[in-house]
Amino acid sequence: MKRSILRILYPGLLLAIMGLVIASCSKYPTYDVSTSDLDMVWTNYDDAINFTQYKTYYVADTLLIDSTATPKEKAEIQEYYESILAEVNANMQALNYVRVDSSANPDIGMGISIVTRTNHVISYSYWYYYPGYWGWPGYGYYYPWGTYMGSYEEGALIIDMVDLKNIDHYNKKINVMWAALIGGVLTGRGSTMISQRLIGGIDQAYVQSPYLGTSQ
Amino acid sequence: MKKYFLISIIALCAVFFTKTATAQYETHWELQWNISVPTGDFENWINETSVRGMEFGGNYHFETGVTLGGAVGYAAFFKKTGKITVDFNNTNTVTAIHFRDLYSYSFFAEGGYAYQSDFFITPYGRIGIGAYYTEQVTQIGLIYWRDESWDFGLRPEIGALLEIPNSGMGFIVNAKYNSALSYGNNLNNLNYFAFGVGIIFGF
Repeated sequence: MKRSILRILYPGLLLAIMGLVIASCSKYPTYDVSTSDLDMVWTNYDDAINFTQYKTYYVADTLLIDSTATPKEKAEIQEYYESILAEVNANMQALNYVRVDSSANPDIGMGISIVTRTNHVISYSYWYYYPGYWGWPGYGYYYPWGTYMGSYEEGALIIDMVDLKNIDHYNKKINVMWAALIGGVLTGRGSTMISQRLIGGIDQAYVQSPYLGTSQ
Repeated sequence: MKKYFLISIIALCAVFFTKTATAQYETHWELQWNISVPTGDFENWINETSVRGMEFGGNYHFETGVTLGGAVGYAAFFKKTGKITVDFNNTNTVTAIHFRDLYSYSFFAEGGYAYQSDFFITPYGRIGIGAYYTEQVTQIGLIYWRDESWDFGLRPEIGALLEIPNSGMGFIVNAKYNSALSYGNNLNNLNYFAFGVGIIFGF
């Protein structure tokens, strides 16, 4: 009796421990990752700027779409155009900034860009080559924080807030006061889900930037 | 009923582990599965228990009870946070889910003492001195970076060897405290408990 039990028990324990040892060699993470888990809201700003001194802003009625986007991608992006613009305006106006036309000498210019290609690297030098700012052909954005962020996959929304009160005409540079990268939000399936993530990302960009806002 | 159950368990243990000869280990080898629990600042970064740990080692037993040997091991820790907002370098702010992975490889020379008796259990204590090689991977949303480091390490350990009579095999259970001294990579320390269960053979 003893011997027969041992014949089963010991090899069973041996196999169980061997199985645990082999299984524990895996380097694959124990958590799951969904598309929306990679959403990211990054903001940066020029801390030399006093945002309360800026009253008005202009945002173009059209989005800047990465020129390498396919027609299908452009069509998909247009689908989100109205909601993006509406949300940006809602957040700016909640901070008491007043939207004006470009002819009304706005204090702030806002650029909204969508990038759909993979593996772009966000850096000072790369951003410089993004589509030019709406009102100043030949001028480049200047990012005073000279930042480097890393790489992201596809589907990013970029919001730039530039200083139109202090344009560097000599060097043809427009100082970026604030920038937000809302990454990953255009990936995945389901337009409703993507819209919710986009809107949520825009709102989060403003929430995590408490220094924004103008004095009345 | 409860009393009979306990008596049965004790009787079974007595039957299985009754020794037919006094244990005289010479060299034994160990293969273990480890459950690891981060502590200190490491726990602040990954506060989840790891079941991904294994270790292989061997020890020579002198007649005095002194043991000398070595071990190599591996433990993997994973953490997926909720969405959190973190400030970097004063003006950068990032809101995203953090994915935190840490792979710890240990290499130890060990010395200790094993109390040998006529009973089937041989309790022991050891201390390991060696090195940890660590891969620390952090992903915040779509930002990813990886750090590596080699650090001097110390590891006290207590445990017991359980011999299967006349088989040349047995089991080991133990508790270890891993400490990678002067670990950097945004953590003040890399300390974790590991609780091991495994097989021993070759004595």
